[in-house]
Amino acid sequence: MSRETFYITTAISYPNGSPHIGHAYELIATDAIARFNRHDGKDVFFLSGTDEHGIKMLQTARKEGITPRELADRNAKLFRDMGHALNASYDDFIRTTEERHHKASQAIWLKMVEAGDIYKASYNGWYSVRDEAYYQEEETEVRADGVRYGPQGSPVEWLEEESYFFRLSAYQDRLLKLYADNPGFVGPDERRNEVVSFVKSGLKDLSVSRTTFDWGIPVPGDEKHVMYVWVDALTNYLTAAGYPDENAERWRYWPADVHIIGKDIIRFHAVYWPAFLLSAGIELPKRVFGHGSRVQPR
Amino acid sequence: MSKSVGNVIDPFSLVDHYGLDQVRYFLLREVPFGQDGNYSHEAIVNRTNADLANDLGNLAQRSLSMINKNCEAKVPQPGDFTDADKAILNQAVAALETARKAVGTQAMHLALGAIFAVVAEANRYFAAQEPWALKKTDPARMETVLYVTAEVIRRIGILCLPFIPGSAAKLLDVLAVPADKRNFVNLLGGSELVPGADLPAPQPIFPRYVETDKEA
Repeated sequence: MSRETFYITTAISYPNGSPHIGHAYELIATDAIARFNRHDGKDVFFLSGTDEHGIKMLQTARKEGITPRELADRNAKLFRDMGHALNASYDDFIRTTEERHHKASQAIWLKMVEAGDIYKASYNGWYSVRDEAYYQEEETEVRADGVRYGPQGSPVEWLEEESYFFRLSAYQDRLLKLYADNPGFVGPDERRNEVVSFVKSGLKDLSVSRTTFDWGIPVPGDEKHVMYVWVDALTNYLTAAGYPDENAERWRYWPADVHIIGKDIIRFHAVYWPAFLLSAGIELPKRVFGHGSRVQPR
Repeated sequence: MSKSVGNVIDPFSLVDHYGLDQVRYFLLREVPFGQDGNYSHEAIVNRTNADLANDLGNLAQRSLSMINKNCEAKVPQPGDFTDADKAILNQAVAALETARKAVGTQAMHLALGAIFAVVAEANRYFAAQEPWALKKTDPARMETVLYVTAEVIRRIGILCLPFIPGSAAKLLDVLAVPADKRNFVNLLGGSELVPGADLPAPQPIFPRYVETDKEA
């Protein structure tokens, strides 16, 4: 009687600029897979959206003399317009600034707290605003211009803050078992190999809150912290399925059948995301696929 | 528009310039989804002109125009199917299984490869059967060949819907395929074109990209 469900997502786009060919490519490919499964008789839920928090949104907005909310509203519209122009058949377009998403992110946070995986400590290190990541001193270098750079080539600055941490180090074995038991969890194969060797090389606990800015989702019970943008961003896939209301009509779609993402964010989806879900006691998505990029010659 | 598409990184201009389904088809067909690749004006034009305008577009236009002129704009009445007829009809169904496996591993280029192998084979079938010559020598056989060709195009149209939804829907419109008979289950029998059913006037679906020389 009830048809087989199929839940597919694009990554949510970071709208601090206009959509470009990379966004279009991912949306078109994901749309083709969603449509294929609909024509094949499945009950499909196809999700896309925008990832609107984080310091880069704040900085771009400041540069333009508008609020981050205004920037998000303006550019989210461009991404929706692109979806229309590309004949994308998504069933929902989520914006992480929506109320439903704040609820879901705070709910998964509390589950991770309950599991004993969130703790507070002080954090310092070389921080790259562009990467939104801290680096070890040995990963950075001072170049001829006298500026210190991180491994991705972006400038870093020394930052000390109080931060909540996620006990990622506790998940190394469970993640390796996941990849071994489900060889299809990460695709294509080259991506899986990269992910496995990254996890094998050892996982450090992950800083998952910020106090240096407030454009984000407040940490429940300690509102001077906002969640690290990736905790909030990844949770969008749950939000759209109704989380934390497991009686929601759309909850039947979870777990997602496949997250279609760019290969540059494979680590967040294939390492952090399953670790968060394992911690919160939520079923894991079946597959994460990291596509390549389309670049112009010359 | 520069020939090198050096300035076309904006998806809106890309779609305006080449057409939506041309862009969709090119991006899905040209490079395996998991790998990096590049795109250029020449690659987009070559790929979409060859596969969409020439192979699929011309086949549909030629066969449907013949039906329009010679079969009173109705689905032709087929006789018994020869082995060649059965082979091409079956290939269109077999492509579904290949495409399903490919899309299941996000290999859309392989799915389109299998579907457009049917298009290429259908062109060979059409050329080899020479329905235009049968018109004088064996009109009944001509109707069978045109029926088989139209039915294969129906199947290809359904298979193309996920990838180039707008154009594939137009292709099914010119075959008068009802909206509720456009799923993969309708490839498998029971939904074939009904001989004698009225067909609308054929219309070109895949415009050929022509270079405009040249705004300086």
